[in-house]
Amino acid sequence: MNIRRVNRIDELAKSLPPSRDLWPAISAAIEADRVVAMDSAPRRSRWLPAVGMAAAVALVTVGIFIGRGITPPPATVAGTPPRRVRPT
Amino acid sequence: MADGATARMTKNDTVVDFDVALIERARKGDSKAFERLYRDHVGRVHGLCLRMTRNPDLAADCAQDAFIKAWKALPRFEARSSFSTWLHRIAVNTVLEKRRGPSNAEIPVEDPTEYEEPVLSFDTPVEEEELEAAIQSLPQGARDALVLCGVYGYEHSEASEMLGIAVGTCKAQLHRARGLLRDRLERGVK
Repeated sequence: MNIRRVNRIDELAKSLPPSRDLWPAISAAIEADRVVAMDSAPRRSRWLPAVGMAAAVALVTVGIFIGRGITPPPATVAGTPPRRVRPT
Repeated sequence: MADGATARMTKNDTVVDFDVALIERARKGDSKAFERLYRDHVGRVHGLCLRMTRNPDLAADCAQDAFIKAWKALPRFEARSSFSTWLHRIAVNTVLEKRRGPSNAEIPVEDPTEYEEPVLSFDTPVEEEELEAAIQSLPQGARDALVLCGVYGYEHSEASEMLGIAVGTCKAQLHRARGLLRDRLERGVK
């Protein structure tokens, strides 16, 4: 058996490979992570356009409602009294 | 830190990182590229975990978890540090999480500069196996500092950040580790 000797501590082997291959378990975890990501992604994309559309319609409706409430009265000429509307 | 696993020195001393292309591919979801990164780095990551945990099963678990965490964190990896250093940081965190012991207790430091010493060398060559056994016999905090700074060549600032301790504490732990290691090698590790 070949006994290795070192003069300095940084001469020790940095790489000590594990006795078993860890990749199969890592690969399985990566795939599981991918499945979770794919499961959640379509759900989000299916609902997002509908929610966006509803929000846009709601915004336009609220805008129209507010706009009607703050529309100024018809302009009057300076010096002339406002016309009174006679009841018919 | 010079990174033998990922970088090669050219004539102009320009560090060329051969991992960059693999990292980019892995970042885009290419698991084959990540497997290549795993194959290139697993020995060093596992070696670090084994020396810190002293337990082959736990070390393998830590290395495995470190690579899974690295895969998930790849989109956030910025090339400020080398991939190897980044991976080692994740591995050290994983070991610390799994160990959950009073490992790196702060030890009083009067003047950290007094602990500035060159690399630990020996008057007569030491058998690798004997040296590994002596390292394993060290108290946890001292061993962590010795493994990161002495064996893997990290600066105190990098090692202390990885271990979550002050730079002065890291220096003091390394100083303590050197003393204990010399003592144990002289007496013969039991």
